[in-house]
Amino acid sequence: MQVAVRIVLRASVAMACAAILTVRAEPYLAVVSGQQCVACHVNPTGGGLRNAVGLAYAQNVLPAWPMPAANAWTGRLGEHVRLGGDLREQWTRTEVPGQPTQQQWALDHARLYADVEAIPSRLGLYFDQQLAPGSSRAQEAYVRLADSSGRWRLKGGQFYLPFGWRLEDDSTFVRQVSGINMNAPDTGVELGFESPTLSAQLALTNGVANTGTGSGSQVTAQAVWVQSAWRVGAAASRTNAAAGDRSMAALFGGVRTGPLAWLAELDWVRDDGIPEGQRTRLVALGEVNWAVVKGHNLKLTAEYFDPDRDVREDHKTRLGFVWEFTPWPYVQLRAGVRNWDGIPQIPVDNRRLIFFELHGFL
Amino acid sequence: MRVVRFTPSLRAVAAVVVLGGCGGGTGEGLDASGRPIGEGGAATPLAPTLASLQQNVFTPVCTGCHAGAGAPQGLRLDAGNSYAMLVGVPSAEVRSAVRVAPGNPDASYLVQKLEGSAAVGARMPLGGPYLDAATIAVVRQWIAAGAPRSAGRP
Repeated sequence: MQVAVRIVLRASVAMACAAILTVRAEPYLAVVSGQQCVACHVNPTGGGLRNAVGLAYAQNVLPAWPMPAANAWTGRLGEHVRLGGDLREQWTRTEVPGQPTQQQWALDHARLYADVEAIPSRLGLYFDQQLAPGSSRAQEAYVRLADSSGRWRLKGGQFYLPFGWRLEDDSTFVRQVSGINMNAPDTGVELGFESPTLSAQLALTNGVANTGTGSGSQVTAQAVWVQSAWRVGAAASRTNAAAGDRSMAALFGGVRTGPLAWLAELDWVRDDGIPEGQRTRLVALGEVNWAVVKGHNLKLTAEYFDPDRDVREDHKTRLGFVWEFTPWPYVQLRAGVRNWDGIPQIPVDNRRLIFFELHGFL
Repeated sequence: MRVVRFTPSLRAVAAVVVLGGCGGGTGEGLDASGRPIGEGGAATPLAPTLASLQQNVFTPVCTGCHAGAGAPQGLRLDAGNSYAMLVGVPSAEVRSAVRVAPGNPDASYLVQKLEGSAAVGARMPLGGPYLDAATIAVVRQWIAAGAPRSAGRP
């Protein structure tokens, strides 16, 4: 009885924490640590629920004031269940030329993560449930299998596709234009291979656009070569859809130079089935993260987006500067400014966003 | 841990800044939706017609994501597809809701997503900035008038 009460209490605490906290992927941390995503996350391609190593990193390395190990959150509910969560509450001020300034507090998202290990290290069920805004809905829900060596892995269900850097900011051009981000899970299967220096995935899915009455499929492949101070990856994807096909390719990489961690990505996207028949887009991202002192990270991001290679003078850029302060484990304060620069005919492409964010994660 | 060191870090930081700081296109020869002049027809001010909404809202604001084979929820809002994908079509996100219910803006999932009152998912455009009340009011007017494909015709 006491055990049952304890489990219920721990579950309640976990749920409460998940409701006020949040976590998404920050791939620069993988570059800083020289590790693969799977070193810190349950999901081999990163993001979402952290494993024991990821939690230890969040408790001892990230914050300015680490938590005593005796009080550390483990996420464990018994032997087979691990819980986590992610929450972002934002104040934003958006300035668009010629339009009234928008300013508001809003919940970006509250998510609950759960992993049920039916057979430790071999068979598990993973869930990423968005609790808010709006009613609850599954972002990821899949079964995962691994061979005895842990190198070969198979996922089946609904999950995020592997394509380029899995950035926390879904509004980056590379994540927005590719359509592969943390708001667009797909359904299918994914075969993965993990070794100390190679992470590779091949996913066969429905295609994000092939919902409802649509029909078609998407094939996505990615390989990342990982070294302690640098990594380089390539990804490709092909979508067949009633609306027309899409082909995408990405080259991306990261390198650590002293206190700086660099990320870069170049995406090429070609769409068929749009009014003029075919359109090729080009997107680039460069990011540098500077760990000024323990608990403080400065992030500078620059992006470029050419919406149509056949049209001149239509490109857009975005420059972002963000300060991330992690005072204690599981809590992060973020403040920053992002500046869009596009053609003058589209005011919204020339906006400025100033934001402050309370970010909690488990 | 092995660390790659090279001194010109400041130059590299400058390169990142230049990538994003070099500015957007001049827009020369492009219309209000960023397409070559003449491709999308004559420029129209914002009005409760599909042509105007397409030129002033759907194409410049929505098709950054909602176009081609990667369109979220399969919803393509480019000029060739928006009417057929919106009017009288059930939402892929909430099957019981209709994206645009002619004559009933309150029951139209499009309006709910733009106003942030939809039962599921984030307000659109994702991440903002959101359409101002005046623009959403024009969308409502178009739907209230029966969401015609072209002005003066149902």
